[in-house]
Amino acid sequence: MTASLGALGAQVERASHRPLGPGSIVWLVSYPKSGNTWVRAIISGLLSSEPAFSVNHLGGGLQPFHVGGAMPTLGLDPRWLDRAELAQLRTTLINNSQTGTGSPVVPIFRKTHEVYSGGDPVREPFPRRATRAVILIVRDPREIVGSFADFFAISTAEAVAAVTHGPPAGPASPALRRTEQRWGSWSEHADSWLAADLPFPVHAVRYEDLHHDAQGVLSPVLAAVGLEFGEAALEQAVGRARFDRLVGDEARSGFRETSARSARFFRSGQTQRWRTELAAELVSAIEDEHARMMGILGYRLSADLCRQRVSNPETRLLPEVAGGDERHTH
Amino acid sequence: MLVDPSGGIKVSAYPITPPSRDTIAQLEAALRYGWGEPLSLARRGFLLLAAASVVAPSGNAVLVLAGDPYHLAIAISQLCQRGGWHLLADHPAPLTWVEAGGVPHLVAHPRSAPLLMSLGRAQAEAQEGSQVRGDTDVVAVEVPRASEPCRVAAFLSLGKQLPGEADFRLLHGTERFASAGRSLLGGVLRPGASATADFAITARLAALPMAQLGLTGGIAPEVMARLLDWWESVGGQEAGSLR
Repeated sequence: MTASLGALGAQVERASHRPLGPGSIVWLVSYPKSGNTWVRAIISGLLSSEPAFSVNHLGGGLQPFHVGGAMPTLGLDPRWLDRAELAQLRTTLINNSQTGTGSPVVPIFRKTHEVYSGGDPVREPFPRRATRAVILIVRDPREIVGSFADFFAISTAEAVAAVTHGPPAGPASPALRRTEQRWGSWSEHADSWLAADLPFPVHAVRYEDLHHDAQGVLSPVLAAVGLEFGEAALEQAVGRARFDRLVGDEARSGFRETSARSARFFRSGQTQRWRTELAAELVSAIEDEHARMMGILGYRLSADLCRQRVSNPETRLLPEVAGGDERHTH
Repeated sequence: MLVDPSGGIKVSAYPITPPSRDTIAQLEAALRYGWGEPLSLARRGFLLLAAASVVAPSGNAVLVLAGDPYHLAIAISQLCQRGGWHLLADHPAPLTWVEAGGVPHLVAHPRSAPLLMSLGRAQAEAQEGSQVRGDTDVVAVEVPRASEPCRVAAFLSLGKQLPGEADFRLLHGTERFASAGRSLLGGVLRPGASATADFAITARLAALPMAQLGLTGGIAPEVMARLLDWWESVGGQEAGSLR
C-alpha cells in the first residue's frame, strides 16, 4: 500500500494489490508533464553510486516506442520494416531488454506516457511477460496544462483541449524508428492503467503527495516493486533531485529531453498554480470532462471547494490532496 | 492451406494471394540491406558505427557523420546536393583500421544500401524517392555514390539542436570521447567486443578532428560554410586515398 492511497479510491487501492508480474520492468507511467522525470531523477540517484548528479544522465528515459535499439540488439535496421512489423519489433525488444541481474532481480525502470493497451502477446505494447509492476504518477489536470502549454509552445486553451480530448496519436514511423504512441485524454490515460483486468500491480502516486513528502510516498512503492534500498539513501536521492537543483542543472548544461520548442523543461515544480493562472472557463472545461476520474484520484472540483467555503467562510481554499499544501516548495 | 469443394488441398506459404513481384523485391531488399549486410560486415570484422560516411568532392578523404539515421540523411542529402560530396555508406558505416607508417588510420568502406530518408524530409529536400515497403514513411533516394574505400579525415557528430546550443562547434576534451563512444554499435554488430577494445576504439576515434552539428531542419547556408571551412582546415583535402 502506498502512503497516499488512503485518500485515493478503492479502484486505485485494488490495482496495487495484484501479484507482481514475471518480468523485471517497472513502468514509470504518467500523463506528460506529471512529474515522471522528477521521479526518474530520484530513482536514478538511488541506483547510482556516483556522487555527482547530472540531469542529462537519468536512467529509464528510453521510451518503449523507440525501436532504434534493434540495430545493436538484433542487427536489424527498423527503417526497412513496415508499420505492423514495427509493432512486433517493439514487443520483441522489450522482452529482450528485461533480463535483469541480481537475486532478487533488480527492477528495470522505464518511462512511458502512453495509454495502456493489451492484445496479442506477439505485439503487446507492454508485454506482460516482461513486466513486473507499474508506478502510475498522476497530477491534477488543472495543473498539468500550464506545463503542457509551455513545453509544446501552445496556448493554455490548446493545452486544455489536448488534455481534455487527447492529442492526436503519434503515428508509427519506420523513418523515425518509432511505433505509434497514444496518450489519450487525461482521464482515458488514468482509466487505462487502473482498469480491473491489468495483469500486474499498478501503484498510483499523486504528484501533489510527492511534492509534500517524496520519501514517504515512494519508499513503500519502491519496496513493493522489489527495489532494495536504505531509507538514508532514498533521503539522499530525494535531496539530490530537489527541484531547484534540477532547474539549476538544466540552466547550466541544458537538458537533452526537452522539447525543441521550449526554452526549459523544468518550470516551478509547484502545485496549486492553476488557481491563479487558469481562467475559470478553462477550469470548468477540464472539470466537466474529467470529474469522474478526478474524484477517483482525490482531486476536488472547484464547485465542491466553493461549497465548502460557503458553508464555512473561515476555510481557506487549501489543496484537497492528502497532506498537501502550499507550504512545501521543493 | 486451402480446401476446395471437391476435396482438393492446396498448401500455400501466403494467406490468400502470393505477394506481387514488387513486394517480393522490397522484402528481399529489406532482408539484404536491413539485416543481412550489417550482420555480414560485422562478422567479417568491420567496425560498424552508428554513422554514415561521405567522400569529399576531392575524392581523397571521408567525413564520418555520426548520429541517428534521420539527421544523417538530412546532412548527407545537403552535402551531396550543395557541396558535391558522394555517399559512401548510409547507417551503419563499415570501417577498418589500417596501419600506414606505423600509425593506425581509419578507412571507410562502401555499402550498396540506398540512402533512406523519411518521406516528409525527402519532399522538403526536393528529393525523388521510392517507398521501400508497402506501409511505411521511408523512401530510398538517389544521391551521388562513391564505391571505393577511402581514408577518414574527420568526424562530425550530428543531432537535434537543443535550445541555446550552438549549431556548429568544435568538440574538445571529454566531449570527443563521449561523442566517439556514442557512435559505437554493440550487441550482435560487435562480436567479441570487450570494454578494453571499446576503450581503444573510442580513444582512436577521439583522436580524429571532431565537431558537432545541431540540426533543427536543414543546414543553413552560413552553417554549411562554417562546416566546410572546418573541413578544409582539418586537412580533409590532403588525406590520401587507400584503395
